[in-house]
Amino acid sequence: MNTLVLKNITKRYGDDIAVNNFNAEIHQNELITIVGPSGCGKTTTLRMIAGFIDPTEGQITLDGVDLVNKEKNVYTEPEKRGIGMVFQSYAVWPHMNVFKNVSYPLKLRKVNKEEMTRRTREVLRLVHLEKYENSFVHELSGGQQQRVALARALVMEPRLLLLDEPLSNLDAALRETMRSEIKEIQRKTGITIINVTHDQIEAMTMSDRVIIMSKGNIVQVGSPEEIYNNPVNSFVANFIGSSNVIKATVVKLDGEVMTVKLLGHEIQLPKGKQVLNQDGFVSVRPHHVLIDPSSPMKGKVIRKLYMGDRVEYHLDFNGEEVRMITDAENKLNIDDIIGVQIKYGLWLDE
Amino acid sequence: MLEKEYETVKPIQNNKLKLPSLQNIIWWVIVGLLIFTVFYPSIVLVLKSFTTDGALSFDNYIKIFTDPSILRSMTNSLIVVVPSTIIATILAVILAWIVARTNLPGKGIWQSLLVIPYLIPPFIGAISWTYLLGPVGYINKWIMEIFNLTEPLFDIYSIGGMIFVMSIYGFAIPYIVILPAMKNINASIEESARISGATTFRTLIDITIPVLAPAIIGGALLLFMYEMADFGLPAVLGAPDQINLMTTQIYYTILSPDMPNHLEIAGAQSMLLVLIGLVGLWIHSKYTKSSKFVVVSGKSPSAELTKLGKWKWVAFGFVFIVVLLTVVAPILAILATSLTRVYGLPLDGSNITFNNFLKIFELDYTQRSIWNSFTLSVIAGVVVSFTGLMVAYMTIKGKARGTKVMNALIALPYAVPGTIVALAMILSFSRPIPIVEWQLYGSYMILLIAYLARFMNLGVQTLSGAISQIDSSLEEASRISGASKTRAFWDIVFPLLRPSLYSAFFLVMMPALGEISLSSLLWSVGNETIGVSVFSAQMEGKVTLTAALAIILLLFTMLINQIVRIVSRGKVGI
Repeated sequence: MNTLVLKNITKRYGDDIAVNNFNAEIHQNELITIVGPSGCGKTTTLRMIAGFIDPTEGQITLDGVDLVNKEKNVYTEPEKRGIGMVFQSYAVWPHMNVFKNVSYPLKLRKVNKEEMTRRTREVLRLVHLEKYENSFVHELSGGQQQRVALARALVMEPRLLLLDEPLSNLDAALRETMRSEIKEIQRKTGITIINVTHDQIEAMTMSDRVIIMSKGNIVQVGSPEEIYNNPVNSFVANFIGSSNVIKATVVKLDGEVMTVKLLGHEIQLPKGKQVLNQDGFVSVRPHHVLIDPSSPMKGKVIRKLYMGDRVEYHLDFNGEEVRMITDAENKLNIDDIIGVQIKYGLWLDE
Repeated sequence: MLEKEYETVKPIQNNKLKLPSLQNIIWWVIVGLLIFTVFYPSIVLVLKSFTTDGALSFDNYIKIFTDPSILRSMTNSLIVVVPSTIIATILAVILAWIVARTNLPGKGIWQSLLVIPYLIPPFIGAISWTYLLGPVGYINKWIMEIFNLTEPLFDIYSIGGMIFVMSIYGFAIPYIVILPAMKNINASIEESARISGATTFRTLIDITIPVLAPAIIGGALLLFMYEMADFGLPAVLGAPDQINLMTTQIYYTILSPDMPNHLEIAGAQSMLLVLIGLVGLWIHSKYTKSSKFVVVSGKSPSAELTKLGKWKWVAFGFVFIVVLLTVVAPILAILATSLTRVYGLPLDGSNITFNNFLKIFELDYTQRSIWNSFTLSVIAGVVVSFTGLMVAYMTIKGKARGTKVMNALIALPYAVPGTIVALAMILSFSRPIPIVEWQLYGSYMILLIAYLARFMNLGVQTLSGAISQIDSSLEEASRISGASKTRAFWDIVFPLLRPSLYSAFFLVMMPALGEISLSSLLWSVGNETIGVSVFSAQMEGKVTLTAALAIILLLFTMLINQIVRIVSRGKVGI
């Protein structure tokens, strides 16, 4: 069942298009992440769902009810949407203690005192803040403020929870803890979550599905595995998992296999809809570049980044740079000439 | 080779055997001046307040709590200042919200118009309202004609009149404090309330205003202290019916030589007013320094403006009325009066004249007063900005001893009412200084000393702000390149501070030109200031001349404000 449907959502500021014809169906109990570089329109999209930005065109439907429908001139104020949201800066109100912050949505809904206390305490337990009921913002750490914001968004049991880069202000270790906690809370409550981030690792580890945006457009939608294994173009290949995107030309088609020429040499890839002599790119993950002294494909080591268990080498092939990640046991030096083999590559039209 | 190069660098090493540096000399000169102009007069004031007929006693304090007219002045002060502070603060919150957070059209223009009251000296504002709501004021006459009344409807020379004028001029102070806070409030603080289910109005009441409480209360307290300390406004509006507030009561006590120990009694009254000010200051610093309200501000989207919809005209009308009452009507009233031949008659062809302005340049004392105010404010501006630079620099960057005491001494004359500073000067310098036999009281010098003491704080504050903006690494980079401390100051810090130095100069000049509370007690024949001329012309009933002088003063003030804005690139000034 579809919970949230976005149809032809477009937001223009004068002649600038912030979001262009965004279409998506978000299912119940799903954690979907919108990811992309800054300025890609992901936050604008989220704020249109929340109701802080009115789209120029399109329709947003939650559980079959129109929140926004530009054709019928429907626009629901944010306070009438019943959506939970966690802001990047947490936005914990400094003049209220934790309990008052979290119970505020219930107070607005005129929930009676007993139930308000019960539900507030319950959600505080869910985010492990039961001991901090009476604390104020300035007494809390960043991670705790984040939990307050999360509890406040969850307390009214919304159908949909929006997360606007909620982890970007936290340090690396805390970010990992919060990632699994959000996942855990989703499992317990069965809530639908839309998360916005520019962090591809966050997108890959947390999400059921990922929407990749660039310059206002959706580039690809799919599960993390699909996106990692089958990026639709060089932007996605580069953005997710930082592939080498190497210029290539199709030189031979043979059944299920095709031969492409890249870096001055020929390699074989699984065939798709390609035609002979077509120019394009091949995406190669750095760990799919293997050292092979017997290979005729020779490159020069120009940079070495030591990462403990692994080493990343930057290799130069007549002006084209290719990154290779290998075990730390392979000890190469700057200016060494080595032979490599490409174990796996994926053809990209653009 | 290497060693040789090292050799050439060596002479930069500090020579420790040196005479006291220039910095030290300047430091001690400033300390000396502060002792002479602030510390000594303060001690004299405190001691005198406990002296009756030359002996220590509490009689002065007993007197001020038993004398009916002095007691009356205390209650009057509270009756006038408390309501006008509340009204002005409410006005300020509403105006700041409309200007900062709504889609009211033409906000830029409103924003500049709303701060003009801040530039109008309160006694000029009060005078302008006597032209509108005085017995023959334009509005009163107009209402009498329309409704066929025989008596004027409003009496500006009353408690109510004072509350009214104080409120509409006072709002500028809390407004200036609240506006930036209102603008910088983290948008997601409000958005999270909206998404939790609160309407725009509910968000304003539950979230926005409470979060801004420190700014609102801080602004209100500043205004309270400012109004308690103000002399010009109550002097103008209270004089005809002898309604005195604490400041004007002190003024009249000082000017009652028939009353035994009158200066000492005025001293006791002053101590009470100072005490009120200190309590206000204490609450203010407690509130504004509380860390409770510090909000984590990540990068957050700029706040969406509230769409006023059908309320647009209500908001527009409200702002329009405020601007009309505080800027348009008063300035037009002064202008009209300054161009009238006979005050009270309508301004038409036969009654229009330019003579009032010519008269200013014919009368000896008005001419002198313009010259005196001009030279006093220029000298004060130059001295204060340079001293301010030195004090601020040594306080922030250097580790000079006693900076805390020094800054307190500098802040004191600005924090207490001008009337009290003048009293302290009278008590300290009315007799010739022993040994050198200088007679300061009754001279131009006493005005200059009083101005310097009073406005020094403006220089230190402006330059402290500017210096703390300069990252110390800029100076350190110059030191590591081989510049001495002094050299680094003149090559790096000073050029960066130059705009702030100009700003400090004009920021002192502006209030100094229209100064009234010090001058009204310290002037003497030959040493009048513009403020004194306006004030005495008003008291003598020379209405049209007063208006012409007021116009000249307003023109000067607005001009200087424009210069401040230009030299500070919009950072200082209104």
